[in-house]
Parts: sequence; structure tokens; C-alpha cells
Amino acid sequence: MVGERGSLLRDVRVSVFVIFVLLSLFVIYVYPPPPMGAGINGNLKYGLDLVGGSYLQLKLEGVLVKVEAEKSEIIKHEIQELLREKGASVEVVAENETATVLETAAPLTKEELEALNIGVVSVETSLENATEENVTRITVTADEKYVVTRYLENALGADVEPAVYRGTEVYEIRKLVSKEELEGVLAAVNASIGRDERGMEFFVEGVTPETRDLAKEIMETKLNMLGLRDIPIRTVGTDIILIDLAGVDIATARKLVGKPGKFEIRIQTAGEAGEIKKGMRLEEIKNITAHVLYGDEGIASVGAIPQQRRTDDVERWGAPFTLTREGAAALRDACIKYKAVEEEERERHELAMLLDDVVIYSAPLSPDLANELKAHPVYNLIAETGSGEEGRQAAKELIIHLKAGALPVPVEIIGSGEVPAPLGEKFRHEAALAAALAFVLVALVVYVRYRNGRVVLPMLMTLVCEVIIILGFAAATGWQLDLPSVAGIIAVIGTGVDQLVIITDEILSGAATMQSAQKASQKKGKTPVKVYLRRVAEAFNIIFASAATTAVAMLALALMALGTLRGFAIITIVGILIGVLITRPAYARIVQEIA
Amino acid sequence: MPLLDAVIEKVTGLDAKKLVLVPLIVLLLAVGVLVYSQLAFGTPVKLGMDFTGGTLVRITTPETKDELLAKFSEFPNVIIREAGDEKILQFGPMSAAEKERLIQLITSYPDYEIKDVSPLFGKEAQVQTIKALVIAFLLMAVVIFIVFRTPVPAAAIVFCAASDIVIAAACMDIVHLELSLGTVAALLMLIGYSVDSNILLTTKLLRSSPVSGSKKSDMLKVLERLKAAMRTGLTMTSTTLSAVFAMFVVAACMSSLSEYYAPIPLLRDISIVLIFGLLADLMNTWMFNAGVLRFYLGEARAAEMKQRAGTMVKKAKKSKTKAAETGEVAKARKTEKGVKTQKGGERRGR
Repeated sequence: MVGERGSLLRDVRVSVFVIFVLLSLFVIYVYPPPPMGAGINGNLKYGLDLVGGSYLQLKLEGVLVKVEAEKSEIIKHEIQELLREKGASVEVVAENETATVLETAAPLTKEELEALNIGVVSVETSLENATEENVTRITVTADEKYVVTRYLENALGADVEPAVYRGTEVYEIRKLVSKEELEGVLAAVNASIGRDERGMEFFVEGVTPETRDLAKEIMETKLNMLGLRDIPIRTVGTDIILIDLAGVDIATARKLVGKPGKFEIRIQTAGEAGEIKKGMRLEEIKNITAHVLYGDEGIASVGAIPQQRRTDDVERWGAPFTLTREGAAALRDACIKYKAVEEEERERHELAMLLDDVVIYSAPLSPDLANELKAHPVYNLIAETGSGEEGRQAAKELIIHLKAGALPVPVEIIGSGEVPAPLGEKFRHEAALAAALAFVLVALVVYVRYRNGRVVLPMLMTLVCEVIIILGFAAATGWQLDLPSVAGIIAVIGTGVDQLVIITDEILSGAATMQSAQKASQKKGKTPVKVYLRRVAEAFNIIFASAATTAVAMLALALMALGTLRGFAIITIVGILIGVLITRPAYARIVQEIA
Repeated sequence: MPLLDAVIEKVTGLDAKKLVLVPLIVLLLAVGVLVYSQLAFGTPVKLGMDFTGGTLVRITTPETKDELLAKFSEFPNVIIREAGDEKILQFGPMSAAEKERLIQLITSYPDYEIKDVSPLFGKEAQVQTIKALVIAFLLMAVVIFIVFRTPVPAAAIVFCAASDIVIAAACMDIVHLELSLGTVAALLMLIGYSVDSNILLTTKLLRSSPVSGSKKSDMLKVLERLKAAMRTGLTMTSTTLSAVFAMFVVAACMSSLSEYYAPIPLLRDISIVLIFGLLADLMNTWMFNAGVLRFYLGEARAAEMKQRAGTMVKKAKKSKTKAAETGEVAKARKTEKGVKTQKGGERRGR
């Protein structure tokens, strides 16, 4: 009635619709060529709740703080601490931007002062005359940033880096400290937390974007080394990292990226042989050991695969690594200083290796190694991790940590989970079943309502095509379909058919009125087509308004930062857009033809 | 469809005031449930693990509940639920070392699922959920007011959406469904869904059309349109309900039919909330909103009639002397007066 049957395909709305459906099928099944054995899945990717795998939600722990401090106060305080036992006091006599000069009556050596680690020190001891007391003149060369950084590091026992955050010079404390604790530390040197331009104290939990990106990069490297490619790592704000690990179990995931991977070698200085045990924490052994080197500074390269050694019929696995020149020197010096190389002392001076402040290996030097160290620095070492498969796995993880380096900040796992692969497969089948059942029930309801195949069939075809276009969108963008996405698709089936019902009812009743109006229209000025078009326009007004409300509600969900349900929101929004822009106009045209 | 027509006849045959009253009473009851929950448990809807933090484990094992309780006694706040061989274990927040041990224990089962949320994450999720709900609701209200531009019908729609959410939330309390991220998504979805049929109803009833002389025939026309809208609207909601129902059946019921299927809590929770919300929406749309609109249209139509009559007289006078511009002003003034008179007249009439 509105046009010839053949003209249907020439209609712009219908042809756009057909093109989109074909394009979607093309993207899913033809190009890019789907992986072998993909079958009906084609290029569609599934989220880890549908294929199995684990996920981690990590919080990077750190504090950004602005500090108001006097350099000389800090230097004086640190030297005063050193002098406490000697009962002397120290005074600042001169100061400029680069250097601070202090004087004290007590004798102090350069070494003692350098141990404070607050700058370049020079010491002059002037013996003015025999009767008067000695005056020690100390010159500390360092700028304020350096002094504050070192002071905070010493006082808090954490890494501190000066940084710029939102245009403000701040200190990034790479550990979670409370405001009270920090205020206490600052008060000791008459310093305080600085204020921002609005007069608020500048104390932010989190890290700078640079540090976050560095952490993310290191995590990526570690995961790549585990043989995982294209792991989606997302960051939220400046301190939250979300990682999906398809095909990795949760225990491995937590070990690999759920901790910094800081490697340290220490040497036993006191206590009995065998006192240090695997699994002990740094606090427990701190007093009987001394620091030798950190993995980040002392290690030059790491072997690619775990090494196996057979001693006394037990095969042991280990991570081989090579020290830097400085690292090797530090190791040799420490071993000689604490007599670990002496045959009779060897047993009581074990070499301990720690990962994230937990002892992973501790043993005396072997006689061969001890002799070698006596003669010259040794570069190649092995960190033994244990026997059997467990040992091999641990060695593999250690190699990854040593290679990629430690994360700049500690991390806290704030959420994690795992869906094992068989369960994921079950979920996938059930999700497909739910979508199919939803479609069948919807078809049934529509059929009962209209009892006219000429209306119901196009309606259902449109619905199927709409889902195909959504899936095509998912394939084209590499979107991972997860359970929330499936819920979104079912929701789209539900709302999609609603809108088709509105259009159908308007057009059918419009057609009915038109026939009756046909005769009347001769008298009135109104043409029947006009009434008809008004009906369609009204149907679209309703559809646009309801699509807009659903879209804004879902937008709020999509913007929720933790993003667990983003799939649901995005699929719903995309479905609505596809519906309003592509499938509804075409459907309206098709139904006009039929009515 | 005789059943559909019978329902429509029944509902449209009722008095507008009575129609409005029922949904209001239900809403009051729902608010009562939420207030009770707030007083008794501290939140209007019981917060699930996504918001409080904790560890949820699903394992398949022939071990009994007591055996499991003994096995996992070292971990804090163990709650065990069972469905056949499938056991769901829920733990309170625990230390990192404890968690490592728990994971080791759990991964030794052949069939398991783990979900772990820190209290910190839960806190963040709470804040964001409230934000999302408020933003979504406000945006929806803005869209509705932009679309309809007339305060009463627009406000009625926004009220319906709010009522749907409140009733759905109260139903969650009644069936002991905890608030999870999935149910939050469903509540947000409800904002979109519930507005659909209301928009349809309001658009159709407010459609401007020639007004015949008699008030009675106008009201009949409104009823006629209401019936047409209801036919479309009820079909819409039943298709949506059947899609959501399919989701519920597969996610919640299939596992009891066959070993092969496992329940999918996320889809189950979403579908339950949507079913409650859609049912509440049926009531709110076709009783509350329809009632309000009938009442509103009765008033508005009467006002319009008076206005038309007034304009007619005015026009006859003005056409002799004054220009069209001033005529507009006078017309507007006259209209106001007309409305007042009409209202007064009605009151007196009662």
C-alpha cells in the first residue's frame, strides 16, 4: 500500500539494516579469520567467568604528602640522635641552600655521619688549644628535598620519592602510613604536613600516575613471562589495578602480581647454626642478620629457566642469577667481614635470601664457594627454592620476580576470585540456553498476542538480527562477553521486543483507522497518509524517550569505577543504540509493507 | 485475546481514586519494610559480600556440613549453605596469611569457585552504588521532564519509577536476597524498564486531538486511548517478564533438574529483582499513573473547554478593534480566569 514489494530492499533504512547484519556476520565468522576450532563462536571472545580463570583487584599502597620542613632542623635532629649517648649537643652555625654547617663538642667520625645518610658530609676537628674542648665542625651538603626524603625514609622505614602530583611538589611514601604516624615523625623535627591552595592538608592515600603506570608495566612483564599475552590490566584512579587472568589459577595469580617481588640477600651475624628457617619473616631475623644487597641493585641478569641440582639423591630446583660488580663486591665484603668464609665459622653465618621479607632460602656457604670467595668476588649464584614440582614452580616465580624487578610500592589484594575452566564452560552453555529460552518465551507471548505469522515472523527476525549486530559489535571491538554481558543481551531482547510491539500496534491500528478514514478523508482536508505518518512518528517518540531513560540509567552503571558490571551496562547501551538507529526504522518500514 | 481484554475492562472500569490508592498502600508497606530493616539491621536492604567484604567459596563435595565446619573452623565467621553436594562457604574478612591457607585448601577440591572481596573494596562499592543510583535517577527524571514538559504527568512517571525501586527493594528484604553488585545493576535497569510503559501511557493519553463539544465524550475518548495503550503496554511487560523469567529459570532452577547445570548467582539475582520490579511496575503504571492521568485529564480538559469558549467570545469582540498582538495577552489573561472559574464551578457542583 505504501510502496511496491520490490522497493523494500531499495529503501535506505532497510538496506542499512541488512548491511549491518551482513557486516556483523562477516566480522564474527570471516575476517579476521577466526581461530581454528572456534566453530560457532567465531571471533567472539568470552570473559573469564565463561571460560575459567581468575581475577585480581589490587590496591597500590602509598601516600602522597606535602611537607613543610626546615632542612637544618632535620640535620640537627639526626646528628643529635647520634650524640645522645655521648651527652653532647650540636648547633647549627651556618646554612645556605646547598650546605649546612654544624658544630659540636663531641668527636664524630665521618663514617658515623655518613651512616645517617642525609647528604655529603665533611668533618673538621679543630684542636684550638690543649686546654679547651675539641670542636667538631660538620658540613652537610644536600638540598632540602634530599634531606626530607632521607629523613622520612629513615623514620618510616619505607621508600620515599619526591614527586609532582597535580602541580604540587609532594613526597611519595611507598607504604601505607597513617596521618597520625606521619604527623608524629614530622613533629620531631618541627615540620608539618603542608596545605594546598584551599588550605586543606595535602595528604592523599595513593600513588602518582607515574608510579601506578610503572607498577602496571612491571606486572605486565611478569605476566608475559608466565606465557600470558594480552592480559587486560586496567587501572582505576591512581591506586587501583584490575587484572583478568584467563586460564591462570588464583594461587599463582596472587603469588605473581599480588606482591611486590622484592628480593634481598642477608647474612647471618649472630645466633646459632640453623636458626634461620625458611618461611621466617624479616622482623624475626633482623637482629641476627645484616643486609647484603637487594635484587634491584645487585643483580645483573637472571637465568631463563629453573636450574636443577642433584645433591644426596634429592633434586633441588633453583633460580640462577649473576651479580653486578658492586653486588659481587658487597657479597664478598660481607662474607669476609662476618667470617662466613672461615671453615669453623661457616655454619653459623648462613646466607639468607628473602622474597618480600620472607626467607625463601637460607644455608651456609658451600666449602667450594667459601674458598672461591676468599680468593676473588663470585658473580654467579643460585637461589635454591626446594625440591620436586613445588620447588620448580617456586624457582620459576622467583626468576620472574628477579627479571621484572620489584613493584615500586607494596600492593594489597582487595578482591580476587576464580572460576575454574569446567565451571566456566557450564556457565557458557547455560548462558546460551538462557538467551535461547528467553527468545522462545518472547516469541510465544508475541504469537499469542498477534496470532498472525506475517507480523510475528518479521518481529522475531528483527530481534535475532539485533542480537547478531550486538555480537558483531563485540567481535569487532574485541569485547569479552562475560556473564553480565549475557544478562545485558537478555535485557536487550526484553526491551527490543517492547519497542517492536509499540511500532506494530501503532501501525496496525493506524492502518485500521486509515481504511475507515479513507472515505471520510475526501470530505476533510487531511490525507490518510498524514494520519499514518503521525502514528509512526508518535511510536518513535515513545521509543526514543524510553531508550534515552534506559541509556542514562545504564550510563551511571558504566561509570561506576570498579567496573565489575560494565559489561551489562555497555551491552545494554549498545543494544539500545543499535535498536533505535538501525533496527527499529527498518522494522517500521517492513511492517508498513505488511500491514 | 479475551483474557487481556477482560483485564483491561476490569481495570479501566474502576474509579480513578480507588486505582491510585492501591499502589500507594503497597508503597507505604514497602517503605515500612525498608524502615524496619534499617532499624533492625542498620541498612534498608541487607548488604551482601560485595559490600561488606569476605570470601565466598563454592565447592562440590560429599562431606557433610559438620565435617566442613570442623575442617574450616580456623577461619573467621564460617557460614555454610548446602544444596546437595554443592556447598557454599562464606567467610568473614581474614588476614593475608589465612587467605593463602584457605586458597590452598580450596584449590585441592576438584570443583571449586572462589570470590574474595576486601572490606576496603566493599566500602568503595557502597559509595559508588549510592552515587550511581542517585545519578541514574536524576538523569532519568531530567529526560522525562524534557520529554513531557508538563509537570504533573512527568512527576507521576518519576514517582512510579521511585516506587518500583522501593517495592523491589522491599521484596528483596522479604525473600532474604542480599544487595550485591548484580542486584544493584538490576535496580538501575528497573529505572529504564519501568519508565518504558509509563512513557507509552502518558504519550498516548496526552496526545492532542480535536476536542468535541461534550465532556462526556472526551472522557470516553481518554478511556478508549487508555485501553489501546494498555493492550500495547501489557504485551510489552509480558514479553520483558518472559525474557527475565527465562533467565531466572536457567540460572536458578536448572541445577536442581540435572547434575550438569550449576546455578549462576549473578543472573539469578538480577532476574529476581527485575521480576519484582516489573510486577510492581504493572501496578504502578496501570493503576497509579493511569489514575493520576485520568484525573489530570478530566481537570485539564474541563479547563481547556472553558478556555476555548472564552477565546471564541473574545475573538468576536477583538476582531473589530484591536491588533492580534494585544489580543494574545488578553487571551492569556482570559484563560487564567477561565481556569479559575471552572475550578470554582466544579467545587460548587460537588
